[in-house]
Amino acid sequence: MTDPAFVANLEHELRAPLAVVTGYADLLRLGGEDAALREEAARAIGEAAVRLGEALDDLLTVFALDSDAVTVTLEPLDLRAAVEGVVAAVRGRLASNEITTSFHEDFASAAVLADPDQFPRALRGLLVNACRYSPGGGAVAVDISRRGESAVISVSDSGAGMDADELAVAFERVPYAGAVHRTGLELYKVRRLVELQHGLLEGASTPGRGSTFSIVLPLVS
Amino acid sequence: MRPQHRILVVDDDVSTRSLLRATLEGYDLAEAADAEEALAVIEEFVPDVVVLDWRLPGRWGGEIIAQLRRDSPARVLVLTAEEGAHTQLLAESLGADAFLRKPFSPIELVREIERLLA
Repeated sequence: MTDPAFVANLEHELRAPLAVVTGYADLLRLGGEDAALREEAARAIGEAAVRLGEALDDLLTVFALDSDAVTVTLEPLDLRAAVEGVVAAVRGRLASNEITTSFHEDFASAAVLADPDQFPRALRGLLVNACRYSPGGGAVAVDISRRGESAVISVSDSGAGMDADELAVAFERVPYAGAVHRTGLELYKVRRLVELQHGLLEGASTPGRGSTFSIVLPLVS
Repeated sequence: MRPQHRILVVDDDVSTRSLLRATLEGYDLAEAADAEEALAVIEEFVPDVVVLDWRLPGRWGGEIIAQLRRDSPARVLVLTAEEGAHTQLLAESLGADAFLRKPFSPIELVREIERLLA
């Protein structure tokens, strides 16, 4: 837990949004009468506070995962309702990104075998990650398809993407490849949560074009 | 009114760029969200000072400083959320002219930039 690279990564996760909060607070103290500044400050401080909350949740979840304190109860979960619920919740809090959802078949009565708390948490992690890496409120797409007897829930971002070296370590606890760093604990957290539910987390990425991460879980017949 | 010195802000975080834009109002400002964009903007914009985030997608700040030192007379202020002493030492050994850690005071940032421009 005291791995210096992990601590450095965590520090970055907390200090970057904190800088936005304190910086705007200072600017408002210095010249808060400017309406445009006040509006931008309110938006940015709100967004930074959400990021701080997400970072704290990631940290606590990772601590719990690393101490084997997260338990799962697998049960049939309505796929469509679960996905739409998570998308609606994230859309409400990170509204600057356009999030589209596409079901490639009806899945009207389809269920996946998953934990009712940890599946939404994992999918939420992918969405938060995608919104974060889709700059300027860029598009985020959620696609749900079937692969044999499994459901594939994919989240694609429109961000900078990763090269093969970065992608190879993206799901690790300290995701760095040589000198190139990718911050955030989301993908590590998601992988661990998905694996606890006997599922798979897959990733594909093209530098300059974005990334797609997919949760693969068994469908209940 | 400040003279129109050119400042390039390089940070992948949209909110941080927005904060820097508000803080550095009055300067001639350009922005870049990653290393490739930064290096392209530097050629065209020819900044006096580059405010550089240490962690960028695909590259780290040290690579950009090294390239800047070869190709540009711009002064470099590293702005980072990283652990202080080690990163500062590394940044300065690569040629950074100033170093501020996040969270930072906007007044302190402007003061450091003015010092670099003096």
